[in-house]
Amino acid sequence: MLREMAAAAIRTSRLTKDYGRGRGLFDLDLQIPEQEVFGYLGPNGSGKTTTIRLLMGMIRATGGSAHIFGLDSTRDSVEVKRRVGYLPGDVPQFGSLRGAEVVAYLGGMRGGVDRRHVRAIAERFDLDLNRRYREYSSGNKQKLAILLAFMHRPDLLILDEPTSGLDPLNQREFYALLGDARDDGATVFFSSHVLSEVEHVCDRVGILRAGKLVKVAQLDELRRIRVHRVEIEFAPDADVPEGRLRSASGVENLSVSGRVVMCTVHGSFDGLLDAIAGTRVVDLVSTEPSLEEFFLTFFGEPKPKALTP
Amino acid sequence: MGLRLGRWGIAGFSMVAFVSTFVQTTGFYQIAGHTPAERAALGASMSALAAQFVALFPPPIRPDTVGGYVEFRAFHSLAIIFAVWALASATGFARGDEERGIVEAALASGTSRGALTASRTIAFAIAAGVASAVAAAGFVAGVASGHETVAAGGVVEAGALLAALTVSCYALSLLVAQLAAARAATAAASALLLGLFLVNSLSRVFASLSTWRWASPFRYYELSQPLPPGGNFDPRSFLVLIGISILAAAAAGWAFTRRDLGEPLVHVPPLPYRSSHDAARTPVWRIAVVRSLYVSRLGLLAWSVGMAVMAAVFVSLTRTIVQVLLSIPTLLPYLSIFVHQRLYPAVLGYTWFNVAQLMLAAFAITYVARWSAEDTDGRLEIFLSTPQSRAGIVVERMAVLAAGAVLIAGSRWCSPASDRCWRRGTHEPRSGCWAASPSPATSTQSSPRSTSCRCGCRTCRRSSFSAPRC
Repeated sequence: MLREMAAAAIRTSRLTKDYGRGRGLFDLDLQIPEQEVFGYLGPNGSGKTTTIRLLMGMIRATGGSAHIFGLDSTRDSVEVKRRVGYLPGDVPQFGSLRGAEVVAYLGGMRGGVDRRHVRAIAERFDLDLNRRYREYSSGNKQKLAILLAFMHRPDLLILDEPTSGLDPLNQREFYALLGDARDDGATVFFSSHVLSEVEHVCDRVGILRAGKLVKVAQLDELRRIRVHRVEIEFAPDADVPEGRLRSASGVENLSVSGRVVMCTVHGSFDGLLDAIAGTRVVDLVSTEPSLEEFFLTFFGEPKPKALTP
Repeated sequence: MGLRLGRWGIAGFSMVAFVSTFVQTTGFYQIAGHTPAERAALGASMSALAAQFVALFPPPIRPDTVGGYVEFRAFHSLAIIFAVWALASATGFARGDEERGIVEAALASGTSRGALTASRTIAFAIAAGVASAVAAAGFVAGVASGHETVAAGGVVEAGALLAALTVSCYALSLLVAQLAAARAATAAASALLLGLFLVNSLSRVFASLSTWRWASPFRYYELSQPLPPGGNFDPRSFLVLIGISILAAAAAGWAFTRRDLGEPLVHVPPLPYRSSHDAARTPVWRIAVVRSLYVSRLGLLAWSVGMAVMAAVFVSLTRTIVQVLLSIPTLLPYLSIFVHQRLYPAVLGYTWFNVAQLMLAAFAITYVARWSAEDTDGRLEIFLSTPQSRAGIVVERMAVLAAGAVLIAGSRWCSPASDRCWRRGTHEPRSGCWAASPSPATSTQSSPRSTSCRCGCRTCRRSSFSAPRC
């Protein structure tokens, strides 16, 4: 037990931040071992950013404790931050400073930043550091924030919705950068409200709702419980295999309207694909439900009041 | 929306206005005495004081009365404070709200640019009206506490004039902010308002400037002094202020419709550009305090230049002021209370130290406002994510403020014009005779006596107060 605790990159015990009127984060017990990529999933206002700001010592807990590499996140915050790379949810504004100046400014405050590593990340994202911050698009601002979080090769990365504003190409580059950091021994705590995103990169996922951690799942478990909404349009001359579809594993809520079939698919698509095999399909659209719909399907609970910590 | 966004400004400036007029009014009853002779003596003292500040404020009318006293002590100062408020609000709307995306959201809701400009200007006019009315209320409450009465018409006119001046400053700042680039908008609007203020106020000393003072809204504000008995209200000047407000706001609205969001109306051709993936190499970024000073280098430069110019102006005015003072025999006993040695350095020290203290206080306020903006803009959060303690960040900020103040205060020594003016204005042959420019740390301990010259040269001896006919 003692060895396990020493190895934990992040450990929280009954961590609570109560904003009143049911808003905040309540009794969070979490343990994340080193070199794990942990996805922190929850809808808007569920308490993800509150958790991250508590871990970073930006806000003080109402109760409980948070430890990073065995150090108290509030009392030993300077030592903690030496080992952490942080990407905040709201990208900070640097006005008319150039990107190169922002990097040098924060690098100067932090110390020990490898200029070659900075250059490598900037090249990877094709981020022009000679431009003024004010002139950056929102995607480029996010890239700069990612660079600031990764530039000192931290042992722990705490990232609050890091891909917001990035196009799919740069999202892929970011996932690769995250993988490289993990291969170099870093631990990653990564918040998101997109289910498919955490599937891409995470080893484990914590699901947060209304300020409470409702589930910590391994990736394969998450894949098993995930839901997709599917719409299939069959060719005019093809028979709709309604019977096969109804009996297919994982297929639920089936409805047929002419040549169009709508259903939800739990977990693997194998059952659905077997059912429509050999039938001519004109169009097939699979959409990921929102987290709220996922919660409704998975937990069977109505949407709670929106939280804005 | 404008009123909603500016509610704290309205509350804050209304409170400042009320406290200012109320304190000055009740203060008058504390110091003026009750007999006509006592009040006449106060009036003479105030006239002497006003003579030293003639480059800033117009001479008071009947300072022996509560109206004249408060007009001079409170309303003239409020005109400057409200002009700064107008400047901050106008550039905040034109550029700050634009950077925060508030303007984009408002335009996306179907509001036209002209309508948005008009609504924000009207909102600010209402705010200025409220704050001015509160200033007038503070005066009335103070007068009531002294068991006296004042003419209601004069009070209303004073409030209306203050509001009209404030709105005209807002509209002019708004117009300049449309023309300049976002990063230069506040500086450009500040330069315009400061220039207009100085053109008017210095025209009382330099006759050559009187040709241009018609362009200054402060001129039209000063043409009326409605509070004292025998004072006046010039309706044409009031209408000119209203006209400036409407025309400048309309021009600002037009300029807003002609430019791209985030861009100035007047474009500067781009310089040759080379993209880079490297962090800045300047070593200043690695040194605490220095890096923060470097970030605000343009602002510090502007403050330093402004301070040097003000120092030069004050030094060049000293001779004129002293000659005015010495030409009034009845003032000599009053002056002897404050000045025991050389008059020129004493007067210069007294006027300049007072103004420099105000300027450094304004510098400190803008710096603290910058720290507040760091919090709301998310920079503080990213700074705190580096291995810095909160206490360390506070200490560094204080060090940056102190170092910035020292740089600005020291800028006087870098001004050759100031040095030449000093020699010409005071007959002093050595620039080192003048005590150092004030910094927040030294200015509070300084008095006219501390500025006395120690060189003992012939001209200094001649300019000493004991031999006033220099």
